[in-house]
Amino acid sequence: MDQKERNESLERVIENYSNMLYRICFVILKNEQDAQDVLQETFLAYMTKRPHFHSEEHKKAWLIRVSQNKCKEFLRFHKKHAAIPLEEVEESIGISNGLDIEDREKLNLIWNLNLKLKSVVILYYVEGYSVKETAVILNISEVAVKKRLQRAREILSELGREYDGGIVCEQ
Amino acid sequence: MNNNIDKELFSNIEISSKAKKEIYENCLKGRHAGDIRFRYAGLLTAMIGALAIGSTGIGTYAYYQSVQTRMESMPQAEVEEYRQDLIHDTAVVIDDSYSRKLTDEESLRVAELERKYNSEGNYPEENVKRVATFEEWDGESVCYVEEDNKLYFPEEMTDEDLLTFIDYSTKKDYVMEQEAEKEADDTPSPYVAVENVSEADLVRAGYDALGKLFGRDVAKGWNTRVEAFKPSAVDPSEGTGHDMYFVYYDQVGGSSYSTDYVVVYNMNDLSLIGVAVRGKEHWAGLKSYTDADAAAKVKEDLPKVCAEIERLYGYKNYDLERDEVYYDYTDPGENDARQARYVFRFGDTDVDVMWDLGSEKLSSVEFFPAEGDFYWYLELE
Repeated sequence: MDQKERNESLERVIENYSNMLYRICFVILKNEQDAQDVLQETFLAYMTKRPHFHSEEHKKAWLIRVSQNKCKEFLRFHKKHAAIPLEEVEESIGISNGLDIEDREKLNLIWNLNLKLKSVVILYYVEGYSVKETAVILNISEVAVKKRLQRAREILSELGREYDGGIVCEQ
Repeated sequence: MNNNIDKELFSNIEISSKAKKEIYENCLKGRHAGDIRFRYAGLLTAMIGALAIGSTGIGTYAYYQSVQTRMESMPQAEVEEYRQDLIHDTAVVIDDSYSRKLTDEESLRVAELERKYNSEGNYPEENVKRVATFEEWDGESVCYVEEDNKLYFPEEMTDEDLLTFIDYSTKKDYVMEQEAEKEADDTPSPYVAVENVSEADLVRAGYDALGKLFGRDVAKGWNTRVEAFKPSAVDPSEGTGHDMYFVYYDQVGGSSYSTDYVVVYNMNDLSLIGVAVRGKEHWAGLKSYTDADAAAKVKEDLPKVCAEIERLYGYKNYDLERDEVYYDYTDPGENDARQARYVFRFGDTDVDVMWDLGSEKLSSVEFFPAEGDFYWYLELE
């Protein structure tokens, strides 16, 4: 592949996957700039490592895994911008347009889940991966995925009844 | 509440076209994200992103021997304190690591004191105080409050306060660097020996490039160092497009806050890739504009920028141009804009410059082969 083809490939990958990756990273990092930084690092890794993919799904999973790892690195080592309260995000990007009160509360609870639970919830529920696929992407066991999903459901269920706008489960 | 989760909850979250465009262009140039600490988290590729942004903290400067000794002689308990600070610093509910931003005056003073810290061993008498709760802070000292993992600054900072802050930051960065190195991939280093030219020639050529952009004798007598960055040595399929020589001009005793200069050359043909003045010290000395005034001035200054590029480098009559207010060193800054970024396409060359709005001078210029038409034509949001 020559340089021109590589650039075109990069364009396509950004076009096809940036919204999906951004959605995941933004919900995890809770800040637009930090999510963009992670995406840049992810696509830079794609461009420089040029891994061989067996399929488009393989490529998608690889990008998610890299971005998840970058999010973890970011949270561990990097100077962060301010986490944005959900209320502000709602206003700026209309995240909850058309949602009823219960869904808005649910969104708020997910927003404030810790990283481990949130990663699993997003991949399983939002991106539609199976337990097995989620386990492969996050490089954890299927049992761990199931446990985290269970824990997330418990939080959504138990705390939802008592939730009054505070932080639920921050790390 | 039922516990079903509908994927439509997140369907409105989308990345902007502008951000996609920036990511694409930065990837083409091998640029890392704005946070330079990404360099410590994984694979190293081209690092020209540091050119416009400058150092933001750790690792950019080799530790001076006396400082290195000070870092290495930290008691293990103290190292563990910083390590714990770093761990707790990851909580995403923390708005910032400090109770407030340093003022411009304090930033300039920090740069001055850091030079003495590095070169003269001018250290604070005591470490940062640590208290469990905000109520325990006396309000008059630099103090780490454990309950919210923030470093609190008094309203007015004495030199001793600033030194205490410098010492804390240096130690914390040192511990972070040690931790990051433990975590780093076993990736072969892309840094190699200078090959097809002598370091002295690169330094001399760099002085000419700096003289042309910033005036004669700039950085004269400063420390110089040359880095040969060759990602193709790690992965030949990478191509040689990002193989570069970086020539740094650091103030004696310089630190992460200090103004420095950098000149970048293509490793293969020694063509000039970039020239820049950087550093928080430089930034803190720039005139600040409101967002509205800065936006207007960016448009107003375009002819002046073009004239400078033509005068200095001979490029004229651009094919494409775009510009923006550029924020740096602060979180995108409400009404604290100081620089503009202009990107021009002249035939087969893209010229990417930073412009100091107050002084109406270029602070960096970069040259790249023109690639990736796709995003030039996207409407910015």
